[in-house]
Formats: sequence, C-alpha cells, structure tokens
Amino acid sequence: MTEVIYMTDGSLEGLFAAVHEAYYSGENVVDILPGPAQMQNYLVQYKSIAADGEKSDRVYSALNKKVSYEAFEYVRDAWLSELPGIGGHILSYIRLAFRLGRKIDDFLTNADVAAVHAASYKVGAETHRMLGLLRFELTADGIYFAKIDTDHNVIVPIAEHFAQRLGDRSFVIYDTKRKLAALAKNGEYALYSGVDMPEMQLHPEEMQFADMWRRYFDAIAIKERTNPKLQRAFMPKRYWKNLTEKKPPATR
Amino acid sequence: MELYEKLEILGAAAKYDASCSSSGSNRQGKVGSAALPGICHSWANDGRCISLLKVLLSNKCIYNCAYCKNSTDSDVPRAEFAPEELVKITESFYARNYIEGLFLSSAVTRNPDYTMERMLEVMRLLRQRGFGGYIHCKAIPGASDDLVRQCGFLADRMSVNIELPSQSSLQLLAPKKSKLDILNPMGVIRNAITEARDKKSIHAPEPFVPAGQSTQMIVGASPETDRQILLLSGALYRNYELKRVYYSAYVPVTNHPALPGITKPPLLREHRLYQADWLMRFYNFSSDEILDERLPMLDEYLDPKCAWALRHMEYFPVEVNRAPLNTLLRVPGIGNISARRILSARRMAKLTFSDLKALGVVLKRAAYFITCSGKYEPQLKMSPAYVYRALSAQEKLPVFDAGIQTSMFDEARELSAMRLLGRLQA
Repeated sequence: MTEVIYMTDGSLEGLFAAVHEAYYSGENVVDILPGPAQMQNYLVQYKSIAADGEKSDRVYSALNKKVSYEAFEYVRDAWLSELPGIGGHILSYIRLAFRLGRKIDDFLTNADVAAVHAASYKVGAETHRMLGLLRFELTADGIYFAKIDTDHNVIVPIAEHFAQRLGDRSFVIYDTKRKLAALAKNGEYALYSGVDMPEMQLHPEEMQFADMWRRYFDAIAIKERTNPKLQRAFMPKRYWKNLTEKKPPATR
Repeated sequence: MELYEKLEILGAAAKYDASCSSSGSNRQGKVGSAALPGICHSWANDGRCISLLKVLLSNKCIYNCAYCKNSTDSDVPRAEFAPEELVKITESFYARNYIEGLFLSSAVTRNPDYTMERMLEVMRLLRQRGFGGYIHCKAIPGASDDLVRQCGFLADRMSVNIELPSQSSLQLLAPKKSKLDILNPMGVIRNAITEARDKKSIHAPEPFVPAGQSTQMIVGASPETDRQILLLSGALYRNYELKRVYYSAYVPVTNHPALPGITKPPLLREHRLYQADWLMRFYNFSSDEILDERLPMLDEYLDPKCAWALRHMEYFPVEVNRAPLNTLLRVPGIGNISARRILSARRMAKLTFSDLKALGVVLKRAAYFITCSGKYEPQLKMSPAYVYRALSAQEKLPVFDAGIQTSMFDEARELSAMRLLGRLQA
C-alpha cells in the first residue's frame, strides 16, 4: 500500500486531526509533519490535514478516557519536540495505546513507546532549562521582553510558567526561530504566530541592571575552580546569544 | 560607594558557600513564586550553578576564623548593604529572571543578634512588598532562638554551617564558634519545622522553612577522614532531619599556620563525597557501610558505589528480571531512573541485555554485577582486579585536571586497586 505522509499546521489540534484521519481513512500513514514537507519523496503521497477542533477533541478524550492522562501528556510533549520522524512514532504509540490501555507506558522496550518518551523527556528538559536561562529586558514601555531560540517548540509551557509566576506584570516572549510570540497580561497569555518583532527601545534603567548582573556573575565564580567545560555542559553555547551575562558586548 | 561595587564585594565574599538550591518550596506571592524542583538560572565560570542571588549583607566581621577570607585580620575591601538596597537589587534581578530568589548570609557585625535582626529586616521588607521568590537564610550562630524562629517564617530554607567536621578542628581554626553555637540553632529550626508540620492537619499554618534546612562543611582544611565526614553527615540527616549536607573543597585564602599548605582545592575528594552522599540520600546506603575502618578514605579512581560493590561481591550477581528495587539500586550502572524503568518494563516482557541498554542502564558498569534470566552477558571477562581496572578506566577524571602522567596514573591506580581488594595493608 502506498506510504502516506500527513502535513499539519504544527498545532496539537492539527496532530489530533491527522490521527483521526489516519484512523478513518485506513491509509498507510508513516509520518505526521508539523509543517509542509521540506523535501518530497517521489514514492510517497503527501496530504495536508487541516486542524479541526471537533476531531481533535474526540482523539483527546479517547486518549484521556481509554488510556490515561499521562499518555496524553507524553503525546503532547513529544509533538513539541519537532524531532524528525516523531509524528510517525506518535501515531504508532496511539494505535498501541488503544490496544494496551494504561499499561502502554510500561512497555518501555517497544521502539515507539521509547521514542515518544525520549522526545517528551527532551522537551521537558529544555522547558525546564529555559525557565532558568530566559532573560527579560525592561522596555521603555514598561514591558518585560524576552527572546528565545530553542531546539524544541517550548514557548507554550514557558509562557504558562511565567504567566502564573509574574502576577499582573505584562511580558512578551518571542521565539525568534519560529516567529511565535506569547503576550501576557494579568496572569493570562495569548500566542501569536507569524510575528515579525521590531527592535525594542529599552528602559534607561535596563543597562544599569544588566551591567550589575554581569559584574555579579564574574564576582561569584571561584578563580581556583575555573571550569569552562563544566559550564558549557550545563549551559550550552547555543543559548548564549540571548543571555545577558554571556552575549557578546556588541549585541548588548 | 556605588551600589554595583557593594554587590561585587559582597557577592565575592559569599562565593564559598556551596548551597544554591532553590528546591523544596511552592510558595506563591504577588510577584514571584517558588518552583518545587528548583530552577538554575546560570552557571558561573567555575561551572557551579547560580540559582539564588548569593550575597552577604555585610562582610565587616568581628571574628577571626583562620579559613575565612572575611576574618578581621584579612585585607579585603569591606562593604555593607542597607536593607532597602538589597531589596531593590533582588526585585530587579528577579523581574529579569536572572535569579530564583535570594541567598542571604552575613558576616557577624557588632554581635550575632544585631546581624540576624538586619537580615530579618531584609526578608520582612521583601515579603511585605509581595515578593514570592525563594529565600535561603543563614542562621547566625549565637543569635537568639526567637530571632532564628522569626526568620524561619519568612524564609523557604535556612542553614547553619557546621564549617569543620570535628570539634577539635573547630577549636583550632574557628575559636569563636563552638559546636553548641552551631547545633543549637539547627535544633531550634528542626523543632519549629516539626511543630509546623504537626499542626498542619488542623488548619493551614504559616509555613516554617518549607524547604527544610541544610548545612555545609569544609573538606581538606583539617585532618578528618572521609569515613568520619560521612558518619557525621549520616548523623545530621538522622538527628536534625537535614535536607542537604554540602561539602566545600578547601580553597586556601589565608596563610594561617594551622592550615594545610595546599595550592589547589581538593575537588576530586569533594566530588567523591557528594557521590557518597547521594548513596545515602537516594540509594538507601547507611553512612557506616560506604567505608569501613580498615579503608577510611573514598577511592580516587572509582566511584563509591563501584568500590562498595567490589568489596561486596557476595551481593552479586543480581537477577534483573526478579530483584526488588532496593537490590537493583545497589548495582553500579543502574540509577534511580533506570531501576524504576526496569520495574515497569519487566511487567511487560522478560528483559534482555539489549533491552537494558535501551532503558538507560550503563551496561559497561552493570554487566559485571547482573544476570538476565540467569545468564551473564556473553563473553564477559571477570576477576576482581580486571573489573577494577575496567571500571576505573571509565571514570572521567580529567574534569578536575588531575595533571597526573599516564604511567604514574597507572601505577597509582594499581596500588589503589590492591588496597581496595585487600591485597595491601592500607
């Protein structure tokens, strides 16, 4: 049977609509992509699936009721990983989950279960890392503004954390790679896609605190223990460009 | 003096405190909250994490402890924050997500009560202004019980540093601090935590040090063995219900005649002690089984779990398809996560060596100590000396710049192996 690859808009509703379609069309679906295919394979048939709230709800409630909420969380987080091939693993995982029920997450020696768990673990790890490494700058308009550039699509869990934490503060988190922006006010946030963010005018006080932080950062290290390898292991260089204490002076 | 200068001086003065954890609390304020697992915000150039703004309120100390850079005799610039200044920095840093909260310590200025009161003032101001971030507060030895208790209602964690692992070393190097001065506030905090916990069932009480208390000791400034240190830690965990004991490799900061003349901090020793500490806290090892009197120091070339396993081959091999959690946890190469994965996965199917690898077991280590369905891994070479060499070869020593040449390293390692395997008198 011809191999089919579904293309979605990258949202969770898109994924679930694709899963729904795979179940009812009976097609041999081998992968679900979070966007248009970069390179098309001549032997594979490509098909666009539109996000659909109703179909998505049906898949969600089936997962939640017939399998477990944990299984739903594994799927949701694995999808955010955007790792190559993850859509196919997720589909196989869901098919297996409907057969095995809540035992699915014990079946760790199964390749699809292992792939979904590993991807969701990576997303959790990067989310947690960004909760620490994200840096806000105060703009002239009194908004706290942060830029991120992450391996996985973690803006939603990050925005949730800060919306809950920062009370009535207004803030914006901008994913420069995916052009997504989360705008938050009074503990609530909304996500916008396809955003081209203009350069922000900073508050006059901002340079002073950034400088103070950099001085503190240098003062707190013990010279006799200097260990750049260890530092990079925890804080890889790819994150430094948005990091107040590490970004090159020219970009400050 | 400019504010940033104060911050530089008082940040540098606080850097020898090892603790920076922001875990264990889920406070929610008007602005800010604590996250239960803790969040690291940066890593300094020494590779240590920065989670909290770690500063002294003042470094104008009236004591003259030999190991400390802030002693009366030492020639360092002195500074002191006004409480409002520190509040402003904390809030501004927190808003930019540089930090998870404040780690507030201080040199003893004027007297212990005065110092503790000033620290209390900082915390009171922050909490009044709705600050919900994490606060770790040092209890000042010698401060009144009542002040220590008041601090506990504002802080998420408190700690009293035990400083040196024995009373005699304390007497020699920190003559103004006595064991009692240190243990007393620790007891006060423990009792208040228990009290707050027991009240919980009736109505929601004010949280008292919800993230528990910790302590720190300096390693390598005094002659105690690793076994003595671990026994002390074990007793602290048991008797004072501490959340953490931190070990801090001694960094030479003064030239006191009673201090060892070392040039490099004993980082490898510190690392081994942390590994042993992990065994106590997460692997159900008791403090007196990790080392025995015959061999009171942790092995340089092997992590403490491997070293323990090689001296207790009677526990092995462990059958992974049947062994209970606690037995699995004793196997080198099986950690807390992989042990729990084994328990899940073996409910679904009998596990093979390649399954174990997929579950995250480090087979290079574990293979010597386990069987799958009654069989060792095929082609496994085994003898205690061989296993020692194989395991120690996997250790990542260069992180600490051991600086030993290969041939010397091999010789030293061989001696260490023979000692551990009981073929040499220690």
